[in-house]
Amino acid sequence: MPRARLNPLGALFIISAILFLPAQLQAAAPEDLIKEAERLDLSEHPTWLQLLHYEPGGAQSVILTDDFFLSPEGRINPKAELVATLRGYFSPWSENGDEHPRCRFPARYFWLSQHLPLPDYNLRDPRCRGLEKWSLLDRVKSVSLLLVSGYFGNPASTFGHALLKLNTDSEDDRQGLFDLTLNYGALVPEHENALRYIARGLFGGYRAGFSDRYFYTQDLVYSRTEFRDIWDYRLNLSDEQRTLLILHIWEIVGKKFDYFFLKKNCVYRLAELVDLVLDEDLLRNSHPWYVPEDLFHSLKAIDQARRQRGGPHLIESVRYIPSSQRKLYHQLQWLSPQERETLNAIVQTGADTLSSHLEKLAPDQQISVLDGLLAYQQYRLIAERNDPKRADQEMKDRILRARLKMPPRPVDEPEIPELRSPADGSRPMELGIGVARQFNGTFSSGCMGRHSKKRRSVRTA
Amino acid sequence: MIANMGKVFALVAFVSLAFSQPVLARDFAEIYTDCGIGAIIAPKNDAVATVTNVTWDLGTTAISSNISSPDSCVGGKGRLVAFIYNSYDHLEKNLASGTGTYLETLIVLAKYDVRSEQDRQVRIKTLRDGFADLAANPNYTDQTRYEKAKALYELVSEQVKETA
Repeated sequence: MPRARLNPLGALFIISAILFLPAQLQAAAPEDLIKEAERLDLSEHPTWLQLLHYEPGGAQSVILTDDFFLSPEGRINPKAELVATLRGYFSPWSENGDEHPRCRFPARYFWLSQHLPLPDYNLRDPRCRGLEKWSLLDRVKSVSLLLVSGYFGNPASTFGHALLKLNTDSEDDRQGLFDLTLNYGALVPEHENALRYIARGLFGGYRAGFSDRYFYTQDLVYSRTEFRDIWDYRLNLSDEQRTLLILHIWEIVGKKFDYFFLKKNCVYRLAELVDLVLDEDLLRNSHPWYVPEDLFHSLKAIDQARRQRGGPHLIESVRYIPSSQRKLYHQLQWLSPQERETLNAIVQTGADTLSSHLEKLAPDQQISVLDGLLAYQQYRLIAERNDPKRADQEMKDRILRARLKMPPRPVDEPEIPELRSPADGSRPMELGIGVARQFNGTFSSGCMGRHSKKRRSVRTA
Repeated sequence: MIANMGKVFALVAFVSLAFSQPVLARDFAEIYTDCGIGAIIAPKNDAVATVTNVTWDLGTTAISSNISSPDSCVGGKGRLVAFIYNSYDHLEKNLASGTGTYLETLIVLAKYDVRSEQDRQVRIKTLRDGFADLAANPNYTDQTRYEKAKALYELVSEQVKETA
């Protein structure tokens, strides 16, 4: 039987195919990828270190949760973690695809795929059911950082607060109440002693982490219970930046950090997330503190610098969201003198006089007064939420029933003058610490940031 | 024969009525418990006032996105129950006036059949009328948030079922 010989044309084809084979198919072995990563020094790349939450100049990651790392040394050795991540890419899939590194660390692989030929890399892997169920990649249109005004009712909120919101701009949810909102905070045990609270908050001792909740839960707390104003800074991020940010949020929610009230606090950790996807440095700060206004000042500075260079701006828009208390003030101011007088009279004399006062008004006026009364009573009950007075609850319910007998009508909501963002003032420049006795005899701590030029208006509950 | 059919009909009607409320009640109670909806958004603390940039619950309830909520709490009824329970005060105010962000969101979340602005107004009116009956209950002031939210949820569920 004659031996088969390779046709020269066939040989040429095979050689060409090997030479010009797509890189993804050539570099299929993990060792090849590891060598290439070493050649590119990826383990020391700033983005890689940020993905692992190694602080600049720091010797280890600040993340305390063990399962954030694939290598036993991952917390102290970014190269070991990179090697483990690359090897993890090739690990076999179990029945629960969500346990695979590709599903647990999609941001890492997204970034690595831009530097290394990861074979069969797919941004959307259907085996990552948890990530797919989250489905935010399809729905999120933009990202906002929210600046929440200060609140003296809570020492930890004196400087204000920050949130990160993933905007879907959904037709079904125009107010974005179900937009996912990221919050960072410390895990403080119930009934914590005040002095221990101060000490641990300042010097460490609390674990902290990110939680993801629907925006309405934050609206209920900050705007409608604590009566704090919010400024929504919508950012101009590219699709790639937004994708990396969303995927990294997936990696990071639920992981634990140490909490430090002055610097490594809510706004610092959020700034770290956004800093990951920006070319500019958001965290440059020589002070021993980092307050919410620092972040928003930095955003503005970067935005202005970009605009001066003629490049894409960073801040797409700033939207002022007045607190429900501010809305109430304007709603009551909008009443006519007669309506306001009636409202005041009912507040003074009680629910028993509701009918007798209202019957003197035209139906439209009755509606305005009842809407105002209901808003006012609700406001009072929120202030009393720890120990609501029954008389106030009964009053509110009688107003409610009277209002329900009238036809529906939109509540008069006059245009509320926009309040300037605290970040429009000068940067915080001084720091003082004080201890005061609250009205109930307990101690609280206060850290007051003061501006040297313009004093920002901080609302108290 | 007609008398027998009447008896059968009465029996069926009785059985249906007897079990319709408890089914809804079990729905709300099960979702409330399984999804940890009772978790306080902003808990109180004796030593420190309401601490709100404190996270003690890293996303385990239906008020979180579906990163860490069980499947049964994600979307649909889980989200609806949580929304009604947590936003009850604002839903109450919006229902009173017949308008508002929380009411609008409830209409969408509950999946009322709304195909036009007229539809939407009709649904709101029907819901508002039903809510007026709930608020007219002499015990309304003494009801807990759980009881009020449950009643509103059952009202909404019934109405959505009727208009489906």
